[in-house]
Amino acid sequence: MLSNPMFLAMTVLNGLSMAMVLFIIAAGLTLILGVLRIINFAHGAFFMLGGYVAWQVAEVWLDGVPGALWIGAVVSALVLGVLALVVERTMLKHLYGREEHYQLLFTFALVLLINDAVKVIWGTDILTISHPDSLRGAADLGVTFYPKYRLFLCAFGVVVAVGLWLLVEKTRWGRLTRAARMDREMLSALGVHVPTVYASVFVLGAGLAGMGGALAAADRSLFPGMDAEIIVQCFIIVIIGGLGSLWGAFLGAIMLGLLTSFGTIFFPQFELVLVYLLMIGILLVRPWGLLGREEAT
Amino acid sequence: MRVLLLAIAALAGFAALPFLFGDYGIFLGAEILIFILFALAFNLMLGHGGLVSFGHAAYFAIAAYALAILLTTYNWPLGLAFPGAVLMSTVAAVIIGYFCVRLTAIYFAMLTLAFSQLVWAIAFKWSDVTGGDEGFVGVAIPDWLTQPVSFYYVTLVVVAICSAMLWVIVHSAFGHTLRATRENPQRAEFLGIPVRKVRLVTFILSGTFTGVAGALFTLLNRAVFVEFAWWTKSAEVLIMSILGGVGSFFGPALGAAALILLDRQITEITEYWPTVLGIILLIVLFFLPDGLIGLFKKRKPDA
Amino acid sequence: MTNVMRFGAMIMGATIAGTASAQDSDPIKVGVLLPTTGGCATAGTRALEGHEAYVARLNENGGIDGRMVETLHRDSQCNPATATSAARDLVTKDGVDFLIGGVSSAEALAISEVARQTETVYMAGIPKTVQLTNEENIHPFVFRSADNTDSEGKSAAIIADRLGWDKVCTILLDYSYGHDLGTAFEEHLAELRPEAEIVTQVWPAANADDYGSFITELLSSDCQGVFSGIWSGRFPGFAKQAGAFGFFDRFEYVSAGVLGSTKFLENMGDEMPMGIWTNAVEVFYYPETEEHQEYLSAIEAQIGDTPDGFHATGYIAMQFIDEAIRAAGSTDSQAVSDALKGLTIQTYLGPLTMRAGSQQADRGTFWGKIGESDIEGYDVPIMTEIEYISADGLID
Repeated sequence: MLSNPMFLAMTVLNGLSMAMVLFIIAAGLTLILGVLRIINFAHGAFFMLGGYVAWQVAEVWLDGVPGALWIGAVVSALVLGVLALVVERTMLKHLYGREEHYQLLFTFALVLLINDAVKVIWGTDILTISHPDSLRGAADLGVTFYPKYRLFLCAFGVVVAVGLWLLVEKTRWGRLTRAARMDREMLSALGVHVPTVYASVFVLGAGLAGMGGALAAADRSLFPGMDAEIIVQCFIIVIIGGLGSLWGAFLGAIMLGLLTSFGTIFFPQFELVLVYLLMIGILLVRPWGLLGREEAT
Repeated sequence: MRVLLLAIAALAGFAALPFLFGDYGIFLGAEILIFILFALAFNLMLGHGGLVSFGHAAYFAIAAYALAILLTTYNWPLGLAFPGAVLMSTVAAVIIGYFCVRLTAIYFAMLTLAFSQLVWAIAFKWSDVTGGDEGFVGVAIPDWLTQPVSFYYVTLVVVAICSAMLWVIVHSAFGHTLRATRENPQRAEFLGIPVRKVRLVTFILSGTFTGVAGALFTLLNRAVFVEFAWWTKSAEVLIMSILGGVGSFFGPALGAAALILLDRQITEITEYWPTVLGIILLIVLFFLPDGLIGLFKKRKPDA
Repeated sequence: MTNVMRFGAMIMGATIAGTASAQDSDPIKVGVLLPTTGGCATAGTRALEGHEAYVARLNENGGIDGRMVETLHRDSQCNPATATSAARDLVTKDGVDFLIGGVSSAEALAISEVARQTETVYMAGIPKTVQLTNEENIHPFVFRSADNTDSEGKSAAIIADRLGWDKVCTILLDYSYGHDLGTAFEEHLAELRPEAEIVTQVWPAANADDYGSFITELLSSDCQGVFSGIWSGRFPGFAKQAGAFGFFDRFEYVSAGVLGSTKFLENMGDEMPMGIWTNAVEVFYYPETEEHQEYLSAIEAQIGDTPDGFHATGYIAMQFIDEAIRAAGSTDSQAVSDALKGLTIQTYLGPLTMRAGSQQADRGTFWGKIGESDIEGYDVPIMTEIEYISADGLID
């Protein structure tokens, strides 16, 4: 099948589009992990909530309005950002000094609460958001035809990656977060209010997850328990790429996406196992990830 | 001394359960005992070793499956199958531990998670042997164990012995050494303690006792399900330990009992048990930093 | 009630429960193990409502021989370990007379194990796994009122044969449900249509939500029809992803997994591909029989709306238990078990018989082609050319 250029191109694009969706979500996770050093198990729940909020906007309140999905994605990002801010200011910040497992427990508690909130508000139905009209159907790329929405996701993922990179490399805020990643005590000694930096990273991470959830929801389904499935994939990407490394997450997502899309063709029986073997391999050989900073591991 | 009295009281309490609560008490008590052992074994690594493992479900599940398969598919007698099953968890802990102890902190945690998920994936796919997503039901347990009461007392004895062994380990010279590696690994290294080796031994001990718990669970349910290997099972035991208090020996045991009892009670009353459980976790996090056991004891310098 | 009081009540209840023999006016207790959280919650919450609708009507009409039915529900969370301990608690602590429920195969097998050990009759209303009642696992106290993967897969083969498929592809999820469906479909298609050939088979992971590579593989194949086991929970993502590739214009599509459920179609709306063949447990617009009307009014009274297919699963499971108790004249497990074997009840899909040998109801499903609605005031895709394919001749 893959000797046919059309299907080869499709397989590559399948991997890339899957990768970009995962990247948008995992980007937030890697930022939070890198700067706050918190394993945010609630990240999947943020993703899920983002999807449901977008549904509410795009399919209920603004049903039929052109661009409803984009508005929904922005609203999702905002809602998650505000939620993250409230959570961080009232509860999370008290846990920064404590050992990791306490922060972990906190994120578990968040998962439980968010899941029930979603159930109370939206019930247990299986919901779906339509592709926006402007991106319906497939585009003719010459060598193959490919769904427009997935192409959009590819492009948007790159946009997000570049945008985040600019944010982290070129802005003062970005410098502060990079410094906080390396040496939080020094940063504090220099007079920077470190908790504010933390809060902003948490908010950004959650907002990205929410937006990712909204955009992914247009290509997938919304159902109870969907958060548990995405979180493991996010961790894999972050580990492969390196904690805190954005381009690492980008690369990790692409590796995971391509491994999955080609893996299902060549090793259909073992694809599930392959992914975990890759994660183990990276951790054994280069634990700080492909593009992570080499640090004491 | 006080500890010994408390332990005897707890033992007596558990022994009396069947007479007080009948079959209900037996099954609930057995489940609590099994998770007490699981939590105590887990806390050897967390509370005493300072190692956060996300992969303990693997050792639980491996022994559980091994026992089911040895008893049912290969017709081994229990006397051979039980140690055999636990041995398989030990072997897994040796292999996985060897690789994991080379890392620390978050990387350690992630590697344990990765191995555990690998175990899950194998259990899921290898359905001819494990039953896959449908699980392995109808485990052939020996006749003398089919009576709930006899199974209960066997469990009680096994858990009591293992707990005692863990107590001895924790309070031995090895235990002190282990805690030194938790407090300050660098200093421990300078003092000549082979930190990596100590951690590996801890890993193996923890995995082995976890395996015992898993094997007992198979006998309790007469079934093994692939959910036993999914990462949320590791999260469960982590929550139990923190809930009870990782800084003390008995904390996790209390946490295990508390979580199971709470879970049963809450699910009876409301379908929104996740919210109730979430709030309880938050309360413990913010108001009971030493865990539930903090309610019973003043802060001691070291367990 | 404070926890201490609850504890005390529990002690008293437990001591009494072990020895009590039910008095004639004591309620009949039914333990219902249905997930209301997690991935199976969609089916679980609906089935619970259906069950409660039946019980409400039953109690209104005087209960069973003067005894009211009391429902004790526990969230099994789609987790067999939870289902096991909850089922055990219901029997040992709450003293239920019967167990109903389970959604996933693992849950069903877990509950069945408890049923076997405690000798309590268990009625599985949704789980389709053939393992539940096969030679290895069957015992006197497990019964299934749902259809199973054999009848579902074979019914799909009947449709495929009618559509004249000679080259067939399959897309089935890589776990027991998908594999069992596939086996049943293949076997029956080979019987009905020996010239048919299955040219490509793809197996997405059970929890996959990105189907790109599988769609690509099918597109590169030369089959005319695709048999699918992508059930309702996973279908919206697949429908959108495949639809964008023009998948449903290229292939004919027959899907198991009850995509014809009314609530599912209401939520899918325009996203639902037209012209695909699928099944449903129940649809309010067919058939127009008295039993169906009775069912619809019971559901309306309970939830104030038309039912979704899963409501019927809860309703019928309880109906079997109800009529078996009446037939047996007692709630004793052995008596009810004997009464269930061969019992026929009248339902919205006509007479339904619980087979004595396999302890499985001869339950089929409704199959139809998704098309435009012709029902006034209901602008949602419906199943057209609808028919009920019975399980007679398709299962043992």
